[in-house]
Amino acid sequence: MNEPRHLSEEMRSAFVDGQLDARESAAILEHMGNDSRLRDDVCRARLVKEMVRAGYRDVEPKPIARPSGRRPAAVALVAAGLIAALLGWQAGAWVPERHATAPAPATAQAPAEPVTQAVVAGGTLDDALLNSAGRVLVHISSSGREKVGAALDGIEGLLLDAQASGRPISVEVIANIGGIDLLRADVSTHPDRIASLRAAYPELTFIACGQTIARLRERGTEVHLLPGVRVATSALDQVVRRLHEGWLYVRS
Amino acid sequence: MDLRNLLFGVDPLRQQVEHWRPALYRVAYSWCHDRALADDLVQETLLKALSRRAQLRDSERLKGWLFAILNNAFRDHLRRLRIHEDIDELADEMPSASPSPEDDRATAEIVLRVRAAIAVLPLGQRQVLTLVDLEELSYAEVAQALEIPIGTVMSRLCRARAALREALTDDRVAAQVIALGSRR
Repeated sequence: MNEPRHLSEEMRSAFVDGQLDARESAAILEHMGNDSRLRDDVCRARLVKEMVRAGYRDVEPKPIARPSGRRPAAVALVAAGLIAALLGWQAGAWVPERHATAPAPATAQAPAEPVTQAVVAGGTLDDALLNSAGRVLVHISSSGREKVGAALDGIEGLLLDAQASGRPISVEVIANIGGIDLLRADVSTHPDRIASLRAAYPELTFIACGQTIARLRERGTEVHLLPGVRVATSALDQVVRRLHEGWLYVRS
Repeated sequence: MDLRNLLFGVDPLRQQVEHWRPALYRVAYSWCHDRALADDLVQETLLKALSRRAQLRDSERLKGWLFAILNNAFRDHLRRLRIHEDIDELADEMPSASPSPEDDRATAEIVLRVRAAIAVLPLGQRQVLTLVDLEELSYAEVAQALEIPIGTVMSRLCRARAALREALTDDRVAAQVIALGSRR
């Protein structure tokens, strides 16, 4: 880096982005004092950066609906392995799935044992259900027949178990994106199963994401929901609301 | 404040979600230039983050972690579209939809011009540029979020900026940007 003209594009960008250490920055500043062309280059690079910011400065999401005011309970923090064990699903790898430099996962592999034997970091399934007062929110975002079937199996197992042991239980199923197909009368792969589950377990509620419904309608798709399915403002809104109230959140 | 507390700590979750939504939305929109899709991607990102929050052990990584989830959500979306057999090749090939006054409500000509210039960048360059310039991620955070080496971050950034310099920095456009900045 003896001559300004030898400063690479990468170095100039890193300087503009504040990514250089003090010594490197000082060296570039020294060069800039003696080289008007370098000063112009840096100035132009800053202008481009400012343009990018100006291009998106006013881009903001629509506000999400406010919850009605119940006081929040403690949020249950539950390890991924416990969540997987709860419904018998395989836990995903650490987030993001294909990340090369991520820190070690909290639980490297989901336990495959039955629910009652699931002991992972953070406690047992019983602990988690106790902490959430038996309130569980299950989120379904894809429409794969097998995956949805496994989710419904897991939910029924949870309800049966609670019923047999006399424990309180409330289960909400929130569906969005592709998962909403489960709750659409004309395309659901499990309409009879949902009807029988609803009839057998009044403590089970199915909820569709209003944002997903709106998106489908914008694209010209008619949306008819199965009987008894409620609609939330959005899946995110419902999940945040329930977590706020201390529910256990399980994602399929 | 501990960054982890912003999303996963004792503050009300809604407040924490709302803290991150604008940044995620801005970046998602800059990647796809489609408001409905950006909404869906942000919702998916935050839902995944909420379901996996107990797995985050290093609060310093929160920002990169969230944008990594956003990146994966976007890639999942592209896979569902089956636009390309090899998703990794999209980094070099994938322009976004062209923004227009009708769909983004932008009225300033310079804003549309900037977005149009960014929309035609290859996806990989567009992602690096917007993470660095809009949300001020460090090069290391961008590398983490996009799962690419830092050297690739730097080279894509330079190529993106060279293209934008070519497209945007004539004197007339520069004057518009300066005027836009002075109005805010």
